[in-house]
This record gives sequence, C-alpha cells and structure tokens, in this order.
Amino acid sequence: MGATSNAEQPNPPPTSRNRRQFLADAVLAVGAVLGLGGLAFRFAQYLYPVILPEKLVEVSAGKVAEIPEGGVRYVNLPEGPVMLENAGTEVRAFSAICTHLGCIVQWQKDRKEFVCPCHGGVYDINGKVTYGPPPRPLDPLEARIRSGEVFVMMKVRKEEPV
Amino acid sequence: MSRLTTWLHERVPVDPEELRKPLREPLPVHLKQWVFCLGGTPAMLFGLLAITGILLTFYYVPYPAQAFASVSNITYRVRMGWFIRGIHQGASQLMIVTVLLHMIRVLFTRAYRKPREFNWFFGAGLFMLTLTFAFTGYSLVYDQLSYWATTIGTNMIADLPVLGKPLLYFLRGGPDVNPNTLTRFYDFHVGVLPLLTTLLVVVHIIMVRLHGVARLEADPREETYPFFPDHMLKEVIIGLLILIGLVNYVMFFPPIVGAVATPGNTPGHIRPEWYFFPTYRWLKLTSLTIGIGGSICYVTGLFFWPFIDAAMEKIAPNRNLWVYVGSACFLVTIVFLLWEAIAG
Repeated sequence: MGATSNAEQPNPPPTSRNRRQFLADAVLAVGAVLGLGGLAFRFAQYLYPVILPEKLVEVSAGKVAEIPEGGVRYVNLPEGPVMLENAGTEVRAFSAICTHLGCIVQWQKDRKEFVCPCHGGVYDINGKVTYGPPPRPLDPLEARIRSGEVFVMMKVRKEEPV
Repeated sequence: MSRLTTWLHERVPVDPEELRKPLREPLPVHLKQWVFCLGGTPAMLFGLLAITGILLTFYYVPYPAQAFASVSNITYRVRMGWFIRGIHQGASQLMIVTVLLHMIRVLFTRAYRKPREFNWFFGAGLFMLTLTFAFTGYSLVYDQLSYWATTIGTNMIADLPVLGKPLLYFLRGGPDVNPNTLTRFYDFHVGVLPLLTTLLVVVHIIMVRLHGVARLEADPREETYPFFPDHMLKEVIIGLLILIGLVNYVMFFPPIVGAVATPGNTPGHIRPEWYFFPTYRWLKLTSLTIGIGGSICYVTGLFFWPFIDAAMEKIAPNRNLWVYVGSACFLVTIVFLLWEAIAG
C-alpha cells in the first residue's frame, strides 16, 4: 500500500531540479573563486615588496689624484660599485656591474680591459663589449669634478612613502 | 582478537589487513635488477635531508650579518656540527645524482609513455624542486659563492619574458639582493619547498601505484613478486650503503666554510656547484636572450618529453627518433658539464 502511494507521488520535473542545482553550484563556485581569489591576492600583496622610487643623487667618489693617470680606480660606494677612469682632461665613470648577470667587473691593468669573472664578458676602456655574452656596454655614469674631488650621479632608492 | 586489540580497533577503526595490502603490491620481475631500484633512493635521502636540515636550523641564523658566522659556528664549534652539515651537504648532492639516475633510467626504458605522461611530469617537477632546494640551500651559507650565485640566479629570472621583473622583486624581496632575500630563501628552503616536494612525492607514488610499475618492452615475462619483503629489502640495502658511504665521505672530507660574502667584490673564477655547470657553460657561450631562452626550452622539453616522443613516433614510426634526440640532449648536457669542470 505504502509503495503504491509513493509511486503515485508526482516527481518534480527533472529539468527544473537540474537548473536549480546548477544555479546553486554556480553561485557556490563563483563565491569560492571570488573569496579564495581575493584572499590569494591579499597574500600575494603581502609577499610583494614595496619598491621605492629611484632618485638621482650626487655622491662623492674620492679625490681625482687617487685615480692612476690613464688608468682606472674601483670604488665600492654604498650606492653601488663604480669604476673611475682618468682620461687625462676628464674623469669618466661607469657602473662596475656587468650588464650580463650582475657580477662586479674587474679592471685588468695590463690588458686595459674590464673583465667579468663570472661568465667571461670583456669590455674595453670605454665600457664597450668586446667579447662574451654581455648584452650592452657598461652603464655610464655622469661624473663631475669640484675642488679636486670626483662626484658621481647615481640612482638610489630613497626611503620615502610610495 | 585480544582485549587490547579490540580496545584499540574500537578507537582506531582501521583494518590492519587493508594497511598490509600496499606492501603486497605485485611488481614485475625486472624490478629485481638493482638498476630498477633507484626510485626509492631520492625519497630516503629526502628523509635524511629533512632530519639533518631540522637539526641545522637549531643553530642557523637567517640574517646576512649572522648567517655566515652561524654556519662557521655549526662547522667549527658546535659539537658534531661539522658532521650534521656534512651529511646534509653530501645528501643534497647525492639526491641530485640519484634523481638524475632515476630519470635517466625512466628515459631510456621509455617508462614515461602513455598512460604515464603525468607521472613523468611530476617527476620532472621533483627534479626541478631538488635543484631549487640545492640552490636555495647553498645560498644560505652566505659565503662568496652563495652571494654571487644568488645574484646571478635571480638576475637570470629577471630576464624571463613578462613575469621576469615582478618575479625577481618577489624572490629578492626588493630590487637588489638584500637582507629580505636571505630570509625569503630560508623560507623557501625550510618551508615552501619541503611542503611542495612532500606533496609531489606523495602524488608521484600514488600515480605509480594506480598505474602499476611500467613493464619493459624488452622483458615480456608476466611473473610478479611482492613489494614486501623482496623489493623493500633491496631498497633498505641501498639506503644503508648510501648511509655508510655518506658517513665515510664526511669523515674524510668534512665540510668547510669559504670566504664571507662581499657584495662589492666578485672573486675571480667563481662558478656554481657542479650540477649547474651545463647552464653556466651555456650562458658563457651564448647571448643573454639565447642563454635564457635556450634554458627555458630545455626545461620545457624535459617536462613535455613524453609528448615529444609520441609526436616523433607519429611523424617517423619505428625510426626510434627518441633514442637519438634523447641521447643527443643527454650527451650535450654531459659535454657542457665536463667542459665547465675542466676548462671553467
């Protein structure tokens, strides 16, 4: 008797139930994606460092007299490593960072070349690439002389609000 | 059932028989050969690395001003510190060797083919994780090699297309190598990478279980033998031999500490650990774009090798192109490694 009455009960149309189910699933899925996505985005924001803007500043790099005549002097400044070249009437400055993968180049006095100890890149006295994988010349820096002292314009990141 | 067993079973309702089932997994008889027992070795070494790694964290300080001094302290002052560090260092090198040997075995027996492509993919992922472990690991020592390897390695990432710069900032915790970099590398080394590796190892083993061990084309025998005790015994023997070898190696060649990291001075003739020699030599030979692009292609090719093999088979059936291409890649890698080792 019970079985018969169960069989007689009208079933809801399958399509409408599926549609309702689908909508419920879709809302849940969108909610989950938005919620978890938002959370993941906040996590990523937390992990991504604050990059301070760059500023050009004038930095003292020592006395002109300290650079050998016709030669090069390496100065490791807090703002970055620099090569100072005594070119007779003027002083030229280059960043000492190899443009390939960031090692510090070394001045080879006898060969009159800058050589990178990491991947063997070679630059001439003008900073131009003469051998190896560096993609561009050494970055030139503006150098000024005042009262026998060399000042180099260098990019630094100032501790200021971004 | 004894009263104790019943009591325990009521509280932990697990059928012991179910637990024993995986131990009886039937393995093809070709696995009785030693060369087919290499898969478990990296897993054992990973366990050893986890234990010794946890021990090292008791004394290591992940901050530039103290990192080098703390490693020196571990190496020269802490009781048995040299031994723990030596085992950790040696096991990491051996792990790379054993993962490589396992991959070479899978490569040349073509065990990666349909339907096991995904598992090769996971395996390649584990190989990359192992290399990242090694890279972040020796960056923590904060000697000259550490510092310049970190500088070069992260600068390589900067040259990746589109995502390079953001990824560089994220990894370094700033535009340059700075105190955040060491903290981040430490977090990767002791937190993120172990978690990812454990997950991937579990997935890798589950996939092997689901598919069953690949049968050899050259060995049509249908017989099997159980994982426990026969195969397990072989794995244990390998593990013990490795342990004996490692302990002896550390006794005769205890770890040392190089010169402290000096950001303004790249030492002459610096080069990374031997497992990065092929990439290092490649970068010396090519322009930056080709160097980075070629490395990306090589790694991508490694991950998708099963599909490359299938495509080659389709283009030229029964020509065994996979042997030639696979061997060529393998040989080039070995030649670059030796070249850097000898001429570097």
